[in-house]
Amino acid sequence: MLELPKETLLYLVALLPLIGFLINGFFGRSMSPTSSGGVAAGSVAASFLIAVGLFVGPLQKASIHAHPEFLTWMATGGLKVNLGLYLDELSGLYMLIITGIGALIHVYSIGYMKHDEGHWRYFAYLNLFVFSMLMLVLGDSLLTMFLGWEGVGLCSYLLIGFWYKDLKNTNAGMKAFIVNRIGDFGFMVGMFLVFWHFGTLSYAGGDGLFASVRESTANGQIDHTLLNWAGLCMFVGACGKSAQIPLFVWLPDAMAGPTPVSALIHAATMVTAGIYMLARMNFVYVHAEQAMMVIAIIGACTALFAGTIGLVQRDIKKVLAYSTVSQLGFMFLAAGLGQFNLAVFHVFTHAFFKALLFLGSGSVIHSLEHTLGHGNPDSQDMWKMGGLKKKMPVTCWTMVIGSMALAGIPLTSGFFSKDAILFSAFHRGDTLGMVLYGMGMVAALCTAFYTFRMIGLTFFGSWRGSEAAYAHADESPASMTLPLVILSVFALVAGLLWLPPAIVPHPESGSIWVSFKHWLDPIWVQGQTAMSADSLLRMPVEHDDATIRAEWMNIGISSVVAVVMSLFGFAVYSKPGSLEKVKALAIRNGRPNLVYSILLNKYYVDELYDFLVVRPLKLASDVLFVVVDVVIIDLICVRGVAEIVRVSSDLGRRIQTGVVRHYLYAFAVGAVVLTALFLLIAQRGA
Amino acid sequence: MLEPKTVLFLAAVLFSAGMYGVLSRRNMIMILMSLELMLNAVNISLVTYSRHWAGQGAGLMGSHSGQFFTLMVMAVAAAEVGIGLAIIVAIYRRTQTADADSAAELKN
Repeated sequence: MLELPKETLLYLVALLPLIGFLINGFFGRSMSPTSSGGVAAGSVAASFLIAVGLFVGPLQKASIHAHPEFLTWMATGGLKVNLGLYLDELSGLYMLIITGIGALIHVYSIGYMKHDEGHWRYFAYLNLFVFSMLMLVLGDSLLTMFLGWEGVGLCSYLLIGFWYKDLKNTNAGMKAFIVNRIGDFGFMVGMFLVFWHFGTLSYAGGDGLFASVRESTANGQIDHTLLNWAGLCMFVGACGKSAQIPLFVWLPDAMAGPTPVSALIHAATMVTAGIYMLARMNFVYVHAEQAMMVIAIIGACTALFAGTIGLVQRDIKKVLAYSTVSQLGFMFLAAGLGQFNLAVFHVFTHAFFKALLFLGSGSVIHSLEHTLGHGNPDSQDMWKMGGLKKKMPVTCWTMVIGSMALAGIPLTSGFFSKDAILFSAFHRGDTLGMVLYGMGMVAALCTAFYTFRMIGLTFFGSWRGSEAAYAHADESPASMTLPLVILSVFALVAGLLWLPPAIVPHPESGSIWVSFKHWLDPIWVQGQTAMSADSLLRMPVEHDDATIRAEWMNIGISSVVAVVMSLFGFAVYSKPGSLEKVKALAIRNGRPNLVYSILLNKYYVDELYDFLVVRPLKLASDVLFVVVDVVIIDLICVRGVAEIVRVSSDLGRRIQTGVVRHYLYAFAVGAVVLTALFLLIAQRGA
Repeated sequence: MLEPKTVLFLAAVLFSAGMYGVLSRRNMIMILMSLELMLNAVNISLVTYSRHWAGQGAGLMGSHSGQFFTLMVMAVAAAEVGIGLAIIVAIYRRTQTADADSAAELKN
């Protein structure tokens, strides 16, 4: 390997996707789909390899902080921000997820976008997306994080509206962008508050946030009210980016873009940014107990809310989109309970199985689109699928594995992370904890049901769509199935990195099975030591026998729930003809029943926002347009000034007769008047 | 010896006649001549004042500053006539007339 300093390599990780973006952006138009895809996938894969190389270092050693002086971004007063990068266990884990899963999605995209004429544009945006996300997690200050934060917002807009010829897609892109901007505003205010309190935005270094918070804690100078507000404001930003109530509305619409983009948004980038920010700022959040409570409640509500909506969706990608919103709710629940490590663990496992599921659904859609035509909604409608197992075995079985992980079937990755989150709510011991536990359990129940409903409807039973589409449905090319297989392996085993204390009761023994948990410890240690001993937000260190018994019980309950609900969902929807019975249950006499229509219309949240926010805003802007723009600016200011000049000059130019004698008259009269005035004044003075 | 009042009266009459000529004549030559009349009226009054205040001034020019000014006005008037006639010839070449009102291109 090249003998480069680690700081340079770290910059290389972030810059390679940017270089890929530039190559594709400038020269991609004249390149073939395979070569532009190759450049894009190659740059991210190279970035991943370097990231792995770098990562072996921080696993045992100290973090890397690269902040060369010549990359100073701004230096004003007390604020000095430099485009530095910071690699520690947390950002390293994210870096690996982003580049690793990102590279798989890029490879998959080569197959998926082969026939699209805008392939170069697609790959350029995709690379820019990865670059922005890397800046977000690797940046060494909140402002650099914000740079990436805005970057992923922009790229999501570009990619969701990628097929811009369809108005629906561009609207979805704008929706994502605008909803994200609302969140970004909160993030900015939170950032200002943090700067106000601590006087810095960088994390590391002698005057960074780590040191500054440690010092303030030691001196008892923490302003809890201010930090609660800062925490809440930044959480608003996280709500926008990570699709939590009330800003989740953009994510289900975000599936308007190409399916690999959904995989990238839902798994590796963008939506996990909110969790990253909470985990990064955990040492601030431990001082903001009220804000944490809000986060936990919103997380649990979102998990339940999105989980119930997922039960009735017909569009295969919408089911997955709501499952993402629901799983993000679980992550925020964990973060709100103070269990940041569990939140990050769930991000880690979720990244594999959600990328897998989205790419799998993309494989299904891709094969149906061959016959149905591009953009045909039937290619995503599960009611018009069924029995695809025979046609697409690899896609089918990898998606079953992904679904098992999502549903939380025991021993898959999703089981361990979700179970740990539910148990931490239970373990909290107060009423709030029990309520959150109950909500989480119901959400998990829904998740298991709708996930296997999706599998049953898509791959089992009998085909319900057009005959031609079924006849030509075929397994996707290797560039698409290979990522599926790789991801399915990780979706199965990733959870083994962190077995619950019930199975491995003595983490001190240094067993490899708990390495993940211990390995993230340095990130939390500052926040944990700053907390009071009886704080509810504390991460448990010791597990006594009673706790372990309770945890076994919890494992038992969630295993039973997951398995029973999965089998139930599968059994109901996989039998040929069973869909008709379910339809008959939901729709009587041509009218859908109340619960069904509420769920199908997503609790009418979009309509509510339309009524409460969009329409008043439109009305206000219409009024502003007519009053301010048309009347005041156009009529009075612009045309008024021009009109005054024109009329006055019209009068003025009549004086210019062009006859020399007239000027002379004026001259003589002027001279007489001036002389008279002079004499008058001289007389007065005398 | 003439009374200053008488001479100043003469100067005023000459000035007014010149001004009338400038304002009423259309021929540019006539205008120029009337202008000369006005300048010389001023010269007369300058010389008159110079004589009247003789011996009461100080400095290099002393009481004779009016006389010097007259010489200067004559020099300027000579130059002005030179330029004025040149302009008139140029306009005449263009328009075949010496009528001042005909040169009205900048009207409005």
